[in-house]
Amino acid sequence: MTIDSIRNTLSDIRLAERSVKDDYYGRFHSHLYSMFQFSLLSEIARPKSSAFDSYRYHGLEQYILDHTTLIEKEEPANIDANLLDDARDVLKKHIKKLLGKEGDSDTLKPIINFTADAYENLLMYDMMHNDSQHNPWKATYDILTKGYIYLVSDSRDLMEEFKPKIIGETKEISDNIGFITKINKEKEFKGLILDNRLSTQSMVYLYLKSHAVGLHKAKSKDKIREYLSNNKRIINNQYLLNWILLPLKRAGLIGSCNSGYYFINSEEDFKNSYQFQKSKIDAMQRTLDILNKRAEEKGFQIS
Amino acid sequence: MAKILKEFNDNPHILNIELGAGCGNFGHKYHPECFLTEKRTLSEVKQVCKDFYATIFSCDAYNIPCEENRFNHVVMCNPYGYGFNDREYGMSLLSELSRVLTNQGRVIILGTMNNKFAMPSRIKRRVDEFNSQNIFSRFHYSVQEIDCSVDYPEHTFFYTDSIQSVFPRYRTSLTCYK
Repeated sequence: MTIDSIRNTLSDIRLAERSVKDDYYGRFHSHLYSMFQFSLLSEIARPKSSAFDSYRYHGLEQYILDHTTLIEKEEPANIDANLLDDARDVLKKHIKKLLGKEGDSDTLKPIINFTADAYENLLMYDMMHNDSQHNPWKATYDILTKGYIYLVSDSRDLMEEFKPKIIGETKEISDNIGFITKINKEKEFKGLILDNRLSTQSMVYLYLKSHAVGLHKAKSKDKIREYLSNNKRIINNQYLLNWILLPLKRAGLIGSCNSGYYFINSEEDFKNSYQFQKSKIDAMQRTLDILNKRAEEKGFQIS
Repeated sequence: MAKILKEFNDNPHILNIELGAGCGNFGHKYHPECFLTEKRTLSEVKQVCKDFYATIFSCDAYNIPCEENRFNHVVMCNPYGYGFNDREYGMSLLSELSRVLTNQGRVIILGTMNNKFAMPSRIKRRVDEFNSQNIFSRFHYSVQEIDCSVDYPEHTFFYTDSIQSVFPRYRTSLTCYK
């Protein structure tokens, strides 16, 4: 990694002409899930309130950069602070150039700085663990390469200033952070406010950790929903599956079997989860082989 | 703003200030006679800080509402969200610190190894830049590796979220000469 290679890569970034929710919605949540994994693994992460405000967000960010080995196998390599500094300058200069006359406005300073902060975190993590798939800022970098600059904030004044078209806002979630994006259109901002999925994930994880330790004590989706409902969290099956259980499974924190979901604890649990995931890869591989064979028969080269 | 101004004026004998104090109360413990300040208001701080009893004043580190040469010490405990990671903001912070410090007054910055807002090498870079651009004030930079359990045995440091504890590893001192 050199400043010239960074400059070359960043020079390809352009601001999008049209804002498409799919470009940032899933990626932003994926960024948060990756960050939240560290919190769940830290053992001491017991939120004092269900709100996910910017102090929690930044606290988590700082915690991750100090504790990468919670997830990474290797000890972190050293960070080149001078290269970080120079890369940050290059990105800020490039964004300002893309924004043209808007680039120097005080209003956009927080957005430009947040985008540079996220990029800086990406580089820091990458310097410590080169090319790691666990780098939580890969997803935010993808949003940047799709042509969006952005800001995470819980400041109502700031949100009011940008007047983003917020997706799915409710009263219940108003204490959470919001994600504001900006493309190549003057004074146009779009964004979303985070719902309470992270605190619900935390509740479910802690519930399974204490009540469903191991394969044989798995809890069904209905039982989990009943527990959430007793704690004033009413969610449907689809939401529970897609936004709560799947991310926890993908993070390797919980496993599933015919009778439900469980906290992975023993060697048997780990083996079971590993075999379960491997069987899915094997099934996919079989499909790929069939597709390859059929394409070959027709004279197509697809891989 | 008016409240903190009055506080500064009513207490001219208090010559230390902690910026971004959070839940820690560090300033009072290690620099008695110290104003604790935060970007958040006291009621916001009390919402997240358990058993918080100190008085904290809302104050922006880049724009401290006091006259020049007001403080002997400025303390920054593992700053995050403000500090030295950005060239523009870092230089602006050093300007403000040089304004509020007395001659030979000191900034004390504690930080973890990977705190991008307080990395010693980054602070040094900003200080060098500041010194090269300023005739009337300059900073002398020094850094020490610390062991919190030895240097600050009675204090628990927290991350910005006020939930998880943290162990700063470096103490950077900037002495201001005017």
